[in-house]
Amino acid sequence: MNTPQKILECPRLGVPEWLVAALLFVSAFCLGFFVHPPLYELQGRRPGADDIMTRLLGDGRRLFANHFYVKADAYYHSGFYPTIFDDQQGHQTAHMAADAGVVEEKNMGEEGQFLGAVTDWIDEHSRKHFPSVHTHLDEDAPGEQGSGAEREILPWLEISAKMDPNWVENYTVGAFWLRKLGKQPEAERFVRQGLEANPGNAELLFELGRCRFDAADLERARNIWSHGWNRWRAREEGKPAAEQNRFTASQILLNLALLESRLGRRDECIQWLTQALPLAASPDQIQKRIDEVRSGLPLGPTKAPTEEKSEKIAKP
Amino acid sequence: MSHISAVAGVVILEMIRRKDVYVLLFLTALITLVLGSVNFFGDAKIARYLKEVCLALIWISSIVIAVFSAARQIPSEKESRTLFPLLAKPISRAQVLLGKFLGCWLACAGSLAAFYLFFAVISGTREGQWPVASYLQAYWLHLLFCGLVSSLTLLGSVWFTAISSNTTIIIALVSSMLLLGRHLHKVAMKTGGIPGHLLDAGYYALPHLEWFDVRDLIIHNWPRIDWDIIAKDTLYAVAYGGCFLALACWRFRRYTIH
Repeated sequence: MNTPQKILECPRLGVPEWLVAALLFVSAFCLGFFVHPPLYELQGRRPGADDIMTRLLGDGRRLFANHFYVKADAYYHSGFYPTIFDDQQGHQTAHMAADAGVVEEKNMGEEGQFLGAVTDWIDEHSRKHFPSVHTHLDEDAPGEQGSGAEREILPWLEISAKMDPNWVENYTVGAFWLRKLGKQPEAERFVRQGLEANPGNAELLFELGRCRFDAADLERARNIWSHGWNRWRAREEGKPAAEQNRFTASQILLNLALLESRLGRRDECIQWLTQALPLAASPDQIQKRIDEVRSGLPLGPTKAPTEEKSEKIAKP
Repeated sequence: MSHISAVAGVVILEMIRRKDVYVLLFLTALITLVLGSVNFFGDAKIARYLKEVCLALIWISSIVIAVFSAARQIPSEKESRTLFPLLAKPISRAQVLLGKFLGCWLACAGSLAAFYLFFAVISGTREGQWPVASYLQAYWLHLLFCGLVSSLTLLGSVWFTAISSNTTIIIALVSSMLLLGRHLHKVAMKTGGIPGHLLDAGYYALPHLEWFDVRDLIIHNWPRIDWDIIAKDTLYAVAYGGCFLALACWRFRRYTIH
């Protein structure tokens, strides 16, 4: 007589039922992955409006966003990254974001020393089996200089943005690295995708302005940055000074000043720099720039940390 | 040796007849290819996420193959009563056990070769690089890992009565060592007291399975490991595997078959 387990087995194939179930589940999932978006398009709905992740995880997907964002930063370090058991002082701000100049760096301590000193022979031998040297993909990753290996962080940023569309940093960081890889249209598309989810966000407007500025569309860049500045004031001016995101404000103002300088409008340039003076982290530098512009010198561009590092490497 | 290889041959034949490996290989290939077809910003050169997913699937598959194939060897022989005629032949219990281990390990070697070949093709076509030495090192270390897990599972199969409890305990232990092995000492220092000493004892006594997992080096195209490190890993695996097998043989000699 057949037991229930024997009935569930596939006698002809001799495959255990759990493997058959797993195969069917994966096949159904893969099929759904392909069929779902065109089906929604047929129904006249936007394919991105209700994607598979939203359907599967609901708002719970936001919990995974941080994991994928951190994963992108771990890829930026070619796998050399602190775990929850290591000292994370040097990795409080993602280096890929800090190097892109889209967030203010708050890291402390030596970023490459989170493993600490070797404790015993097991620890010493263990370090030969995983990446244990601090590198960045765009600077000193093994055999990757100038090969555009930065692209490897992009899938995780896109997935993180899908998981939490309201996490603006995904779009700004992703757009910076896309622009660095020469993918200006993709960068702009990604930022606009972020603006759809976060209308009027000052950080995203700043990044969109950078995309237009890179495309030499200066008038539109100025309009976008001006709009971004207005949005920043509407959002932040009511807050106490310590809670204001002054980093974004000074970035917008300095870039507006740079743009006016490029267009030869010295008075407007000085006006933007004067507005940036009370908000900047180092007012002395801004005052020096104002004096330079007043004396007739053009305003130099403010570079992202990673661009400054690249120049240093090129000119040792 | 001929007795051991004869038993190993039977185990390999059984693995060929069973469809587990084929289904796992098919699932790995299917998931990898589906993920490979996803377009991220129109850049076809993005490869590392795909390498990571593929290697993770290979590792999961290898643990399933190593544990499930080794766990069922002795209990299923006992249940189907084929162990009696086997032991009635001029073959010692230790030879049966070693034959079972060798068969499981060679079956893992064959299936892993197929998995790594698939990985190398996917990775090479995507990145245009063929770091053969690194892949061989990763394959060899993975194979040593499978040997350690198989020997540990065989030890469990003569210790625990049910296959399910053996597989659950071994999978939990292997996963814990892979995830936490490197950090046990740090956790022990922070914990302190008797629990800290126990964790420290585990850190020094348990096999460091995480040494055999060099996925991060492969995914991020780090240079190959020095060969003397691989030699030390091999010695380490042989020593621990030998201990587990010796314990399993000792236990199997006292194993009540009736």
